[in-house]
Amino acid sequence: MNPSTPSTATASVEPTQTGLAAAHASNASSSEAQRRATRADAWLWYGALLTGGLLCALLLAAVATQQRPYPAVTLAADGWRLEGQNDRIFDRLKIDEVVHPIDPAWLLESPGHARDVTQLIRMYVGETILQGAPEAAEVSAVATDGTRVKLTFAKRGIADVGPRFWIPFLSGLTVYGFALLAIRTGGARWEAFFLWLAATGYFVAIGLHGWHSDRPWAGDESVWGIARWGIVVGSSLSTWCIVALLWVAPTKIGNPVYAAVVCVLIALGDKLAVELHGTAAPHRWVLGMSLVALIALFVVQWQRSRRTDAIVARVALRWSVFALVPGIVVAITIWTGFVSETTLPRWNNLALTAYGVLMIGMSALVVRHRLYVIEDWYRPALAALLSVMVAFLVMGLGFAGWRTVSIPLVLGAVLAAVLTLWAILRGFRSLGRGHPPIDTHALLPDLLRVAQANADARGELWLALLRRTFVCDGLAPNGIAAPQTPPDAAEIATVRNSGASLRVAGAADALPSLELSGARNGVDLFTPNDAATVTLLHTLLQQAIAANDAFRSGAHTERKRIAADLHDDIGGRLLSLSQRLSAPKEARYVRDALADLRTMTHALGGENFTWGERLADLRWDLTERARSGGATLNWQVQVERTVLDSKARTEASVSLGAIGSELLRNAIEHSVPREIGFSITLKDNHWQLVFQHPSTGSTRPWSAGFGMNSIRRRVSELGGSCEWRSYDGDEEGALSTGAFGETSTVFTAKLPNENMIEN
Amino acid sequence: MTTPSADLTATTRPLDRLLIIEDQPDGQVFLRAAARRAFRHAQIDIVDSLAEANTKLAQRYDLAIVDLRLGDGLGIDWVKRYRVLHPDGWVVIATLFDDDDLVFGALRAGVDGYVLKEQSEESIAEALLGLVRGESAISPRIARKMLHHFRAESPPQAFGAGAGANADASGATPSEALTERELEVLSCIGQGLSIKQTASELGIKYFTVNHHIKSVYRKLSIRTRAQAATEAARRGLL
Repeated sequence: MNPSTPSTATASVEPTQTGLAAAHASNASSSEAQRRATRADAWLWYGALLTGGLLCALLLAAVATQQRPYPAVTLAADGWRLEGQNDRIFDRLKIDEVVHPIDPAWLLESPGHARDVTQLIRMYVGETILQGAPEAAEVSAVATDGTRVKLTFAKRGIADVGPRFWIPFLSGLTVYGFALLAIRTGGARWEAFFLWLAATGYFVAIGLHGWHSDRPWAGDESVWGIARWGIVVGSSLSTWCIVALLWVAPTKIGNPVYAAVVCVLIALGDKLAVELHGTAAPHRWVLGMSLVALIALFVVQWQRSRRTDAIVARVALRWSVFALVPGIVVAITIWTGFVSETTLPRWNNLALTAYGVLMIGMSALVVRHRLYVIEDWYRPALAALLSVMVAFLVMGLGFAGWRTVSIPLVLGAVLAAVLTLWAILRGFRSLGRGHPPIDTHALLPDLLRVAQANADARGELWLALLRRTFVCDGLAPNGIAAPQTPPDAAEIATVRNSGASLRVAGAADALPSLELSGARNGVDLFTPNDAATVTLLHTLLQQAIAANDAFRSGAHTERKRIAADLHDDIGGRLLSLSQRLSAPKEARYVRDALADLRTMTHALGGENFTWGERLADLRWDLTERARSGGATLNWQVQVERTVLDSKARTEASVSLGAIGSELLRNAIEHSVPREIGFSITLKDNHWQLVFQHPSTGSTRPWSAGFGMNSIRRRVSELGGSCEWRSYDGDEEGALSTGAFGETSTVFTAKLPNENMIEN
Repeated sequence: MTTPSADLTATTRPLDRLLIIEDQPDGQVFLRAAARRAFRHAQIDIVDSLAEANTKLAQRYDLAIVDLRLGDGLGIDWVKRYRVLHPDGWVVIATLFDDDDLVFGALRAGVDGYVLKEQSEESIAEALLGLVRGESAISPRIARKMLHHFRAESPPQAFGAGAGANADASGATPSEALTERELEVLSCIGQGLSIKQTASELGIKYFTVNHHIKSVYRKLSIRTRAQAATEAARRGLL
């Protein structure tokens, strides 16, 4: 009984305590897993909501409480403009009698974007001036025409916050909102978690940039430092979470649309902030990463496509990502100023080291990928090449500076390019992706079925099993002869054509040689592991075939011995008895017994007879016996040719002959028929036997003694069911009542086809 | 060679001399009773061993009923020798089971039919009379064996090409090849049809089916008889 469906149990098969316990345990386990999943969903969802709310509150509070000068300051090409001062350009700032030149970049870019050390210092100085200004006794802006305007400072409040804060803030909020949507629809899965982290990092970074871009005119230096670290950490978090999304993208992103939207918004938001509103955004490099992610996620949309171009593009992209991501990350971070050889604080060196480690990790993953494991020699050679490449790149980037063309950098780049191209070409050739390991234990039942099949069907079943296992094509080429001696283990299965095909050796007369191709729906290659699996299966199959053949041979020998004994011994005695008996009735009984014996020895002594031959013999035998009993046998068979051509199972053949003989004998004995009907129809994968003769005039067709019990037992042994009843006019396969008078007795039996045919 | 079945007028001819070769006393009584029932006035000789039967080889019998398994050998051996000396006498084997390979071997040796010893006395008498009338006993298994035999003996182009087909590389003479109709008859019987059903299936007469079966029997035994005759000549029996 299936524990998961206890309600389907019939009355005759009561569920056991163990079964019920298992069912309860299974249900309990399932419910517990469901509860855990629901709890995780809730934690992630409410945690994300709470985090988003807190971030909003903190950012709004930070920007609303910062001080700003009055009249309001706006940027100009070579200085500032003040509200209410017409078109005057203010190029100096006087703080407590000290005059400072005004640099517009103070309000535009962050120190991380400094083009050189001079500009960097000027920006730091400007920030210091801005921080200290509200604390001074008097602060004035001086225009180019000498006009002085006194600046006063006050908290701006929410109403006075400008677009340089609102645009980044809303950008972050929108990204976060889509991340929430992905969590809501996707549940607590790794990709949702990464997406949430990416959105959180982006929200933190872009929000702090909004605050920073509005240049707060006061505050402790530590606050500014914390803000800068928040930007770096948030940006890094979002970037690496996107990389993580890329990592799982080919297989695990349930709904890539939301992830793609998040990445698009990150990219566009950053772009708008930088280009249109002059927001200081040193994490501009997120843009590049987001675009890479965007491309990847669009390709993910093809994940389930079986189009060749989609498969090719997917493989190419995967290899590109594998090989290029570390280099792209390093290049972008340096290009955007996140890592600069001119302004390297200590943490930048750490970051560069981390990138080197990451590259090594990526390389290790590339080397371990199954596409490289196809031929063992690739692995050490490739590992060495990748190690050299990583060393060169780290040396070239870390010590020479990325703008300087150094020999290690060139060598590393060339190696990276060669390996990447090779990997992509390899990907094109294989069009593959990973697959779960093959569970050989689960294949054992199928393997036994192959072993138990007839010799001429084994090859086909063996091929079908391998095709199912590796989801591949395959054939038994005529040109490859099966070796007459058992092949060595190393020769049983051999990977050919760099994994495009797998040659499986035959086994003398038992199994044909096979050639498999196009593993995993043609998107993967055969590997030495696959060859080892096939070798194991092949060995097990040969052992099973040997055991099965020995069993069959023994059984056949024993059957023939029994048949010979019956034939020579019992048959001879019965014959002698029949010839000696003078009473006709007794002599007929003995002759009937002899006829049954003949039917039985026919079936027992034979081997590899088809059902067509068996049914022909049965028809002849029953026809002759009916004729000697004064009746005509109306024989009908409606069975497909394929079944008639299949091998008859000996037990079924013996039973069917015995059932027919018993029915015929009883019919002749008890109803003295003129006509007897016997039909065999194959329907719904069952043999339906209908034996019909004139009614005996009794509610019981004949004595429920040995004959009926024997028939019931034989039918039951074949896994079928049978019954006797009066003809009700619509019995399928039955003859018309005209042949039997008013009433007739019908025996029907239903036998499963699988128990009739020798597998 | 003139076979009894070739002359259908012989069906009315009374048989004068019968030989029964049977080693079991009950079987002797039973077969004699059956033969007596069929041929009331015939002289019936009974022998109980192969050695004694060999002493009767020189004598011609209208009908010989031979048990297949004798105490000192196989009835087939006697049939082979007897056929060479008396190609026109009826020879019938009596067997317990008709699926025995020996039955097929006996047919190849030139017997005209077989009767099942399990049958009643009346049935055996009827079978003997039917044999004389030109009817043939043949089971589906024997028919299939015959088909297999001729398919193995003849190449595809000669197989079924009719009596006029050319001799093949295996040495089969044209007369050994089966005609299309003979093949059809064997095929029908091999599928379990009786002779009457076969006649109905093929749209021919009952006796025509029997004639085809007889023809097949004859073709089956031609080579065996030729080999036996050669052997008999070598031994000076002819």
